[in-house]
Amino acid sequence: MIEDLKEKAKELLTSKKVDVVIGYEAGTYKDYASPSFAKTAKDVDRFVWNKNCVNNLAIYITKAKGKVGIIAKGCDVKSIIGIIQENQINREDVVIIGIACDGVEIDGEKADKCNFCDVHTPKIYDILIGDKIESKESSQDKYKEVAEIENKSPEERWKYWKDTLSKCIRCYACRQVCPLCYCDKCFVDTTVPQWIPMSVNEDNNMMFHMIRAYHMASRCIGCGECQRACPMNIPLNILSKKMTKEVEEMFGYTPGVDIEAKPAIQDFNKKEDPDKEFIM
Amino acid sequence: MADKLISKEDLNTLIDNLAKDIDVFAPVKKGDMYLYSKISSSKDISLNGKNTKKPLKEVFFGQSEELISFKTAKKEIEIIESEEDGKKRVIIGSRPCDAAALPILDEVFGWDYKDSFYLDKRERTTIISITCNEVEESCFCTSFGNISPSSKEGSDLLLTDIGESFYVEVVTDKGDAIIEGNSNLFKKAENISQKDKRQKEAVEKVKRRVELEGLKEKLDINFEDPIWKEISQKCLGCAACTYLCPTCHCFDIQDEMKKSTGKRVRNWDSCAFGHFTQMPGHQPRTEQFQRFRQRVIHKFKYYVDKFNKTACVGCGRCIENCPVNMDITKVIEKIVSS
Repeated sequence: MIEDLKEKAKELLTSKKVDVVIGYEAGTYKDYASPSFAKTAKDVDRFVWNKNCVNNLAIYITKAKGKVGIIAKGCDVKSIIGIIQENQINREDVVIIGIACDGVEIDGEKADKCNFCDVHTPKIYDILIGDKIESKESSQDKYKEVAEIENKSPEERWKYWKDTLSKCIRCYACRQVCPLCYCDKCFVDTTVPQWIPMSVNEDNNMMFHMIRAYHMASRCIGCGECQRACPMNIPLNILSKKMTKEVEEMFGYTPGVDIEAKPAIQDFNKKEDPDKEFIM
Repeated sequence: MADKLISKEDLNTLIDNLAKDIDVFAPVKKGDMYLYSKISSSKDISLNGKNTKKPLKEVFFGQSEELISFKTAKKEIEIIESEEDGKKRVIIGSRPCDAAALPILDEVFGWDYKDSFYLDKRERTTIISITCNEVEESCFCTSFGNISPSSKEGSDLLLTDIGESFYVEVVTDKGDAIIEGNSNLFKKAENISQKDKRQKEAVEKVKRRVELEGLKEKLDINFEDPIWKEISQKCLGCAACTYLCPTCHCFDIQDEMKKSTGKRVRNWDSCAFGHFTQMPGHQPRTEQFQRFRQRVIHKFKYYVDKFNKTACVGCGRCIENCPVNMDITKVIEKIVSS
């Protein structure tokens, strides 16, 4: 697979179809893989593909200049679909080198998202590396942790989030690593008006995470990068999954599936409201 | 100031005795990480754990520190100074790298403007460090001449686990005062060979190393070098590295108002953030590579020029916590070989 991947990446660069190919190279800490940017065929020789290629490289396509080739797993392609749907890049400006993936690992353990993967073969791609892998319905409940929180009493739930989010140091790694958090100016960074004071405390932290979660509703595809990036090990996946679940139930919309679909947040087409009396 | 021994049991007694009268901070296991926390009993301490997630600087320079508070009534403003409680404090079980970061921070907080909030806490605090039992894969402290898993830089006492007891090396008068005040718990030093062996083993465990020779000379002249764009390309601009760095000290002071009351708070800030240098009408660092360059040059050139110290102790937290594997040791290697 890696030879095929390198060959295709080199072809794209030498034929000048793209200015850069974003892939993975061997990291320098533990067995991590690290993002890698190839501008020449020679640079491609650094590329690797293995179980440790966890990072969602879609974060870099809104930052890159010119035409971009990107190595993308099925889950990463979901992000790319979202970015294109939201008009942040043109489909023709990105060459998706989709990769058939049967799961990645974080510190030797299967990544949470891989337990529920429905895109072992990416939904869209220009080039596919590896043989197509069929996705089977997962026997595990992807909303198990969400249900555990939902089943708590309001008081318990309040305490849980207060305690959990009080650990946050507001380094914004969750925001910075998220491919869909592409705003030029984040709400937490404005000073006039200042929506959230800079001080790190339970109230401000909770405010930040609540607004962030709302901003991700109908947009988060569950790549889990926010949770992986969090140095304080805050289970941010639970917040994102809760929003995804709500949107699925209310609007029948799942992000990252259909590039032609109108995201729930643009459409507001409530599932049980065929006459579209809700909002518009 | 002769070396001493203290049995593990007596160390617990010492901690419990100290905690009765003064504030004692130590690494505590919280969930899946260790954090310096105020403790009331020796039972809460983890002396053999992994390195703490947040560095020791937090105990002297908190992430959000109230400087003053105020009340407004009509056109009057009443200012209330924040008062420190003045209590003596002891830190037990700090890693030598974290302790070594303190004399580095002392420079900037005690330079032209004497930062009373930081300096007052420093003055009141005795640092009892411990030779590392476990070394992380990200540790590279031995790359700096004066720092190692058993270095005494910044500590007042250094403990080394020699089995039944801790070998106690006295570094400063402050450290000596702890022994003087609790002399019944300390014994005459023996088994120095065991202590030397343990310390040597700890030093040998540090595998990651970076060659700093030639770095400063490169940084003196490479501000405009295109290499900065290349090496910073994957940096996403979060503050995990700076906030968790034991020597990063940048802050922002803001007034936070609620109706007629407010407080002036000093918060950690980070050169990784775009708005860090945003001024009315001007932004000198518009791109991420400029921010990343600032972090490296600040640590390995500006700080050296100004204070003759490098603002890095090799604790490895920036390597461990970076979501995209930005590795400062590799960055340095690339700069040196450029």
